[in-house]
Amino acid sequence: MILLLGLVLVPPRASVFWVHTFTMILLFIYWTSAWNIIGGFAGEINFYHPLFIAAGAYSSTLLFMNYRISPWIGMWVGVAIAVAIGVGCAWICYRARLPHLSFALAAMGFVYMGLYIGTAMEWVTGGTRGLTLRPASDPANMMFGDKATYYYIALVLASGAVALSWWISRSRLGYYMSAIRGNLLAAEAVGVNTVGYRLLAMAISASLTAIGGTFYTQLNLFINPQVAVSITGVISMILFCAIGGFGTVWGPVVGTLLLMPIGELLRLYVAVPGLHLMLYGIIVITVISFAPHGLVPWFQDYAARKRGAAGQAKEPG
Amino acid sequence: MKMDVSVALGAVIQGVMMGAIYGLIGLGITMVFAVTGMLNFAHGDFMSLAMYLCLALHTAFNLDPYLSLFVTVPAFFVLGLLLYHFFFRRTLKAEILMVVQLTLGMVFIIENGVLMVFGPDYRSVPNFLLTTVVSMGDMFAVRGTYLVTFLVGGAVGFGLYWLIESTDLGRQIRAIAQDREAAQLMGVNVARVQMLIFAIGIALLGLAGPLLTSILTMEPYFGLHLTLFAFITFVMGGVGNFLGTLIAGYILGVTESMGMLYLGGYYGAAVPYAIFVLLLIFRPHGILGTK
Repeated sequence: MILLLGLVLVPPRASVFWVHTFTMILLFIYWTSAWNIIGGFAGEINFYHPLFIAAGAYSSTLLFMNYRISPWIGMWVGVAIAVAIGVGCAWICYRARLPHLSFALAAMGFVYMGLYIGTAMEWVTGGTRGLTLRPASDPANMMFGDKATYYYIALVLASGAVALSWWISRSRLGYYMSAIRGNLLAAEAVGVNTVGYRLLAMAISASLTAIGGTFYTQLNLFINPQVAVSITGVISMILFCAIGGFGTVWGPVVGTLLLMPIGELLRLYVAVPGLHLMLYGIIVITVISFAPHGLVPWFQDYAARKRGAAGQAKEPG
Repeated sequence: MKMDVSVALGAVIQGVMMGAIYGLIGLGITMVFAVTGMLNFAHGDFMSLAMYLCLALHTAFNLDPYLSLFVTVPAFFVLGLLLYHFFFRRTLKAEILMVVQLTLGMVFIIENGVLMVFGPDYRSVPNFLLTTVVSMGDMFAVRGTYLVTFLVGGAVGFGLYWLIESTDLGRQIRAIAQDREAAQLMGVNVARVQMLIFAIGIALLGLAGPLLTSILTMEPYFGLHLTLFAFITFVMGGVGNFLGTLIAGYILGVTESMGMLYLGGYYGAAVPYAIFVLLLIFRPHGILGTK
């Protein structure tokens, strides 16, 4: 409760730098939660998300720059494109019936193709120089003079994604997904439309991620293919999610909150390029060695054991 | 016109020569997948590590990349044994998702460790063959470094194929690939074969890396590309098909160099991935796949 109150009240008092940093952390909680819907709940580890971010970022930006269409509207075009890419690519992979984990690597192939073609199509994407939005604070164009406004939007996005995850985890859809994750063939045998539900999970995840892409561009007023289509970005999301726990509602929140502030502090005070990412890798390998399913399930187990032990101790008395 | 033909022919030959190495690193992934059922996302990063090790040896002792093979191959074999013993053995007993976390963690550690030690610049290591050009008739000429890569890569690749097809170890590998439990019951020491194959897979990267240090420019983040190239040959060859993987390596090498010749730049770089996507659509079971 206190934490929540702090989240709402603090930003107007903090410096612009910290507000920006916390906005990015919230955005990553949002993206990681979105990734978790397909990657965690449905158990389909993948690297598609840079393409979705790019879809959101470039649709809204291009429509705004060329046709003066507000990003509030443009982002829905991004959502549609992201869903088309996600469902299309996933469908191709499911059709091929590749062995486990191949889906993930195939996704990486799609992403690199997207990155190179995106960079080559300079007249559309601006190539490596990218596109810069002229700052003009106007809420109708999703541009705000005050960084705190972005922060609150990110807070709403992140809470919304967590709430959606919570709802999915308790819905019929969530049960189907966990059946698919647990045993694909068994789920298929009892009549779950495994391809359909995975494509649905992909569509939900893609649309959320694309909205984040639009928001990210409006926050930074700049986009290029290297920033948008970043494999490092999606691997970070996967590692955050892994630390918190794949397929749990709070995993993405816990993982991101644990790692990203450390990373940002290192980037600020040590300023050795790559150090924070290397540390993410070391932390992940350390964490999975004692909590293979991530911290949230580990903590739940721990709490359950403690309760169990306490209950047993009371019983004889 | 004759010029165009010889340029194209040169590109094909260069592609075939690179293909020997792609087949080799793909064979590493296929062999490890066959006996353990896992895909290592850090596969290419270990090769990039071998190349940087080569660079370090060259900087420190002025050691030629071809000589540093005698260091990297055994070192990577031992590294493979250790990694398998301390990390992968446990994840195999747990669940397959842990392989993802473990190997993605390794990707970040290797790529950024290399970045911190060697910096972000593009690097390559010269070797004594760098300026040697071998002419074959008057149609075309081949750079010495490519020729060595082709001869060594091709020989080791097909040597391993022979090993898999015709030796006891190979029979054990194929038995495990077909049915792990049955192989165990028939007296195959599955754990030992898995460890050995994993180490051989890593050692192959220790071999491929130094061969390419004078051909490819390296940068800290290019390991994932190599992983993908290995993975593309893995799928293109028909999952688990050893000969298919080797052949797919040559196809990939040729398409890559043709893409670079005729499209160039970023479009050219996208060609291997585009081929992969087309493959998934039209021949999802690989070039030699039957099903």
